[in-house]
Amino acid sequence: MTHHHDERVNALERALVDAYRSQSSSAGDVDVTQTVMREIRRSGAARGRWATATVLDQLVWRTATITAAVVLMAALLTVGLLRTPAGDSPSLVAEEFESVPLFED
Amino acid sequence: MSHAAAVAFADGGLIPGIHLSMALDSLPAGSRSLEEAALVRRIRQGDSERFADLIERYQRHVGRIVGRRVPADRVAELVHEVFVKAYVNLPQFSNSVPFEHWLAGIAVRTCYDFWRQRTRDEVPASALSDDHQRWIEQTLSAASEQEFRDQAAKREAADVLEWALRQLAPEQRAVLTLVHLEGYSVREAAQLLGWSVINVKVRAHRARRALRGILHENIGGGSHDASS
Repeated sequence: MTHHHDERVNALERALVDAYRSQSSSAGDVDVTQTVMREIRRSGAARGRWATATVLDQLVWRTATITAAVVLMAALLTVGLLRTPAGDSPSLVAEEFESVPLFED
Repeated sequence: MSHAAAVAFADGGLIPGIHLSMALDSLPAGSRSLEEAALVRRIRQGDSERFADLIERYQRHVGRIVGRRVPADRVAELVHEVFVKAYVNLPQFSNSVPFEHWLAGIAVRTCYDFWRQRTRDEVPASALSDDHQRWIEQTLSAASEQEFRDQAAKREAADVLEWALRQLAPEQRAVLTLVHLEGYSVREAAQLLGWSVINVKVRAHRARRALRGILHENIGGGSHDASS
C-alpha cells in the first residue's frame, strides 16, 4: 500500500468513525415493557427453574465436596495399610546399610 | 471507556454500557446500586412484576446499544430479547458489577448473535452504488475540515459504513464496533463480549486490518497490496 493510499484510507476511515458517532439514536427509543412482562407472565416457569437450578447447584457442590473428602481419606488409609506390613522404614534401611562396611580393613 | 471516547460521545450522550438514563442520573451511584440490589433480590424471590421497573429504567440505554448495531426495523425485537434474557439469567447476576454493565453485555452479545445468525442466512452485501462512490471521492477531496465533517454527517456515510461492516465476520464487526467506533478499551470490550483480553486484542487488530483492506479496494487509484 503506497503512502498516498494509506492517507486516503486513513481519511475514509476517520470519516466513517465520525459518521458512526454522529448517527441519530432515535432508533433506540423503544418501549418494550408491556411485551416483555407479558412474556415473563406467560412463561412463569422461569421462577421454578431458578429454584431448581439453585438447589441443583448446592446439591452438586455438596456431593462433590463429600466425595472428595471420602476419596482422600480412603487414599490415606490405603497408603497407611499397605505400608505397615512391609515395615521397612527409611531409618531401618539406612541402619542396615551402615552396619555392613563396604571395605574390610 | 477511555477519556477520548468519553469526550467523543459526550455531545450525543451516547456511551453504551456506561451512560445512565435520565431518571438514574439524579440518584447518587451508591444509593442507586443499593436500591437495584434490593430490587433484584425481590425479583429473584418471586416478585417478578418488579422487573418492569428495571425495564423502564434501562430500555433506553439498551435501545441505544442495540440501535447502533442492528437495522432499525429489528431494534424493538432485539431489545425485547435482551430483557427476556436478562430476566431468565437474573440468578447469575452478581452485585460485583453494576446492573447496567451486566445488561450492556447481554445487549452486545445479543447483537453479535443476531449478525452470526444473519450471516448464515443472508446473501452477501451488494456493491456500492454510484452515489456512494461519489461520496467517497468528495470526502477524500474535501478542502477543509468543515467540509470533511459535513461529508461525514451525510446519509451516504452511514450507508458506506454499514456496507463495510457487512463485509466483516460477525466477531470482527462486534469487536470493531466496540473498540474502534465506540472507543472502549480492550479490557472493557472483553468484559462486554465475554471474551479474553488477548482474544479481543487479536480480533480487533484483524478487524481493523480487514476494514482498511475493504476501504482500500474501494477508493480506487492503487493496487491492493497483500500485506495491507
